[in-house]
Amino acid sequence: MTTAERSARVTTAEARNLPALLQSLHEKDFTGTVRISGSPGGTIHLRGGLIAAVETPGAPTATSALLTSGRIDDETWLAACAAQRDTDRLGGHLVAAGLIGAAELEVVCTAAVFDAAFAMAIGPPGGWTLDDPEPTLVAGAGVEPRRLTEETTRRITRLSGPWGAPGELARVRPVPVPDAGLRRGLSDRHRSVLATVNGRRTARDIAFTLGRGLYAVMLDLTRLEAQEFIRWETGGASESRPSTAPRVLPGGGAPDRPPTRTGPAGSAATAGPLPRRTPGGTAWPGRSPARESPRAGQDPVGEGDALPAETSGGHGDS
Amino acid sequence: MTTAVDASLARLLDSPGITGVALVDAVTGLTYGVAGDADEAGDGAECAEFMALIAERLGRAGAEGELESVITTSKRRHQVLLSVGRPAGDPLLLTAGMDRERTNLALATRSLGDRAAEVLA
Repeated sequence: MTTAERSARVTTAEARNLPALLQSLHEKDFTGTVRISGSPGGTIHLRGGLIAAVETPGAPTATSALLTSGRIDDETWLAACAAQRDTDRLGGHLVAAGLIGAAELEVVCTAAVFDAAFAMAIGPPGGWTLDDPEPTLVAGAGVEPRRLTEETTRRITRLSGPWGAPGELARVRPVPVPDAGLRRGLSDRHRSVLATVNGRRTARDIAFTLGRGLYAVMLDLTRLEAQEFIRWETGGASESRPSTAPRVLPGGGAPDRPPTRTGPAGSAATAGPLPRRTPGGTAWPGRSPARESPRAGQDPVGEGDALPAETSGGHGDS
Repeated sequence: MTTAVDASLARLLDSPGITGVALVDAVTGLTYGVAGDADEAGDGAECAEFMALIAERLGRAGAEGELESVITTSKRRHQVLLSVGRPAGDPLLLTAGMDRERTNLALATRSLGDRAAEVLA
């Protein structure tokens, strides 16, 4: 075991939550991977203590954003991957080949880091484990953990509204108001979001469909709803349905099992009953009883906050 | 540590009177890079919200098309919010603070617009 590995093990055992862990790893110039369990869970890639990339099933990656939007077509992408097999260096190859500008790639990758962090933060917190570095698309130096935490907190605050916490808004399946598409005064971006709203897609589904960030899509949805282009679906899908399948760490048990070091959220999770289906129950959390009486295991305001500093996180069993 | 975005933005400081410039995500408000005085460039989240609010109100009033820029002028300075298109992806904002005494607003704004595409190169 190297000094860095021993150091990381001590760090992860001492950290009280994920922001504290990332800050501590930043101070140790840690290079490696932090795997987060839970729903949606994810992987945080650190290079020299800075967050180079974050991947989660809850939000499109930088690669997905580039390909889905058509910024780089599939064939060109595959050719680039074949020419540069080291994924960490793929970004440099894309720039050198003139497929994208260095600054633009940096924008795409940075946006994906913050968006993935937000997507993980609005889900129930899980545990974490440290691992060796894994190849991933990177551009630029990376993001300081403190900045990532502050921005994630800002985003959660921004999207907390009459509907409750952002995690509840993410489960809503909006429906278009009749003839909304015929109305004037809508930007092309909002019109593209409106075109994907069909009463079945969640914000995450729309984000993946458009290759856009989850937070950006959720912001656009709130603005469309405020202008009465869409309305929140009431009835239909169960409000307890997660938008992504829970991620289980290798060797771990149930994804939402309480962490070894149990925080307030973890304690509550053990006490809660199993979720029940509610036929015909309201899907819009702002009008559901869950707002007044949050489900056990969920924080009513900062629901599932893997990153915000005020939360307790997982455990450190690397 | 200077990033590619910071380096691109630094070139915009050559224009007379520009005291700070930032590249901001027009939707999320995330600041991707800053050159010069960050306070003069303005808070990214506030600039994006401000721009979105104006665009929304103009849309309600029947305006068509995308909002290109917003210029706010105080006694000593101008602040310019300029929409920057991208080949793909959400739009960006170039936010710039300008010293009013040293700036020809029309020329500076035009120059910023002309060079905005260079920022992503």
